[in-house]
Amino acid sequence: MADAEGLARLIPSVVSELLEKAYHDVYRLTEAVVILGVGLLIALLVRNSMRRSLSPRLPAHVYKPLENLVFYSIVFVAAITALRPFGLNLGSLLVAGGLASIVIGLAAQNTLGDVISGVFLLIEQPLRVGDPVQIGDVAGEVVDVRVISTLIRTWDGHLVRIPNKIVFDSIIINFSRTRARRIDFTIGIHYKSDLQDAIKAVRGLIDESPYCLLSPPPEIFVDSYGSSSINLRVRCWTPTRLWYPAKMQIQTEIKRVLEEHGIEIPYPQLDLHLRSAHTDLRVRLEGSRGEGEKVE
Amino acid sequence: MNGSPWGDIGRDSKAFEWKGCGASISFDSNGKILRACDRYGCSEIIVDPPVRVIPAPPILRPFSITSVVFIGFTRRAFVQKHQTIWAKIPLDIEIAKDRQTLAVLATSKVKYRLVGSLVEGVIARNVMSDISFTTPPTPGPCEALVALKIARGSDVIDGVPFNVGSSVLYSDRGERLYTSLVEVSLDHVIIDAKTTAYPPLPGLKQVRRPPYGRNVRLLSIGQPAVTVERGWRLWPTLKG
Repeated sequence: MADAEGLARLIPSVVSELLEKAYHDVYRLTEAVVILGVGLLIALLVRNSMRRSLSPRLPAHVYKPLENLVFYSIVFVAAITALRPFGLNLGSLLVAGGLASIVIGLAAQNTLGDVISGVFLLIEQPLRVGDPVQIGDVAGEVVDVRVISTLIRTWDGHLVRIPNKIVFDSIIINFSRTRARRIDFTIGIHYKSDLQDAIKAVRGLIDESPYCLLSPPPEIFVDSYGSSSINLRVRCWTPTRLWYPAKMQIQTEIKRVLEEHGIEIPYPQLDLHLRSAHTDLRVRLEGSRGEGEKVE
Repeated sequence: MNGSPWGDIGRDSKAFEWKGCGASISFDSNGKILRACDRYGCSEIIVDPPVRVIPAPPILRPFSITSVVFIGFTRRAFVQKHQTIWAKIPLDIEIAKDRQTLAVLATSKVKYRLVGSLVEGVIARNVMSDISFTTPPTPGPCEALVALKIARGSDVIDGVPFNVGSSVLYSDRGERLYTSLVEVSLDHVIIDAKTTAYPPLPGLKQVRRPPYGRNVRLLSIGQPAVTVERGWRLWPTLKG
């Protein structure tokens, strides 16, 4: 009887204690969520405001890392502040950080590698937003350099995400870091065509084109004597930004110009010399219905 | 109509045509369709006349890729401190309406060159000019005069690069247009050309000042040279 009475007295106090604890936990959790939410909101507002004010004045490769830095700093501060209701502060976090970093480091080795590489990429800046680059097998324009990964839009329009560690370890060709870039291609002309006329025709095209720079000077020379053609090497330097349209224009126009000057671009061909033919050869042209002409 | 194109055109809403300097500007018989052509292509735009034809530095057409012009001398010259060299540069023709650029026309063949190294150099529009040490030469209808004042050093040079994008355009109230005075310092390996904010001669009137062609999006060769431009000021034209 006495036990039952004691139990009856105990239950309400336990329940109220549990309720109180749950209330405090929910309160702390709510407080943390609110702090984190407000922090995220502030970070987003600051980032948008920075984007609006900086994007017209600064190039993307300057303002994007800056806004990322500010955004993640605010989120970090908000996350630390959100942990305070649970009794965790920055000091204790730093003490615990030593052990935690080992555990996290082992668990997220690749991600941390990406983050560290991302920081070095931001410092060294071998590529910037908007740069045309080639990273390993991927070539395109840099869309964003983020903390963990780099975003490339390939020339055919695909978005490729490359982890920063791979970017950092790869050979990066940045096509925009020099003032000029060279177009270099070979064109074959017929052995019967006049070589000097061909060179003159190509030089005329290059002289007229605003794409090809005067200095460094263009080069046109015989690269090799092929089985079917004399191969002319054509080189001209263009402003880096105009390399692609220049390549399209020069390579498209060159055929017309050569034809206008009576220069023939030969098909691969094989000359057959018959030294002792005792029979007549009959040749029928494709599409004709006749029996063909006699060739002696 | 020939000679300089500068001024308002299409005031009387009639057919209009101007040809010269390797370019042409015309309004159709209804006076509504503006057609502007140069050696790199034509553009057509429907616009209520009049439109304003104004001079611009030769850095906008066919590509807006540099604000630097390299004046190559037709003969090499030995220049000394305190000398002033006069040269000529071609001008682009800009057609605008209510501060909006409608078209830009080149008045001569455009070639660029790299001045300096591949990494640290600069792409410059290349123009060739006779030079004079004494009096300014007579410019063509679409040309401007440039005064290059040797501020330091002496050397044999075959040209000078300078930033024409930061130059003011002046007029002597007649047909002649001028850029700002350019101060040139000669070192053994460096030519340092500074575009000043001063006119090359006293008594000149400002026609236009930079920035030129900000936000201009010029299309590639063969396509219309329709442009969009913001944030610059139109200055009074020479005529009208």
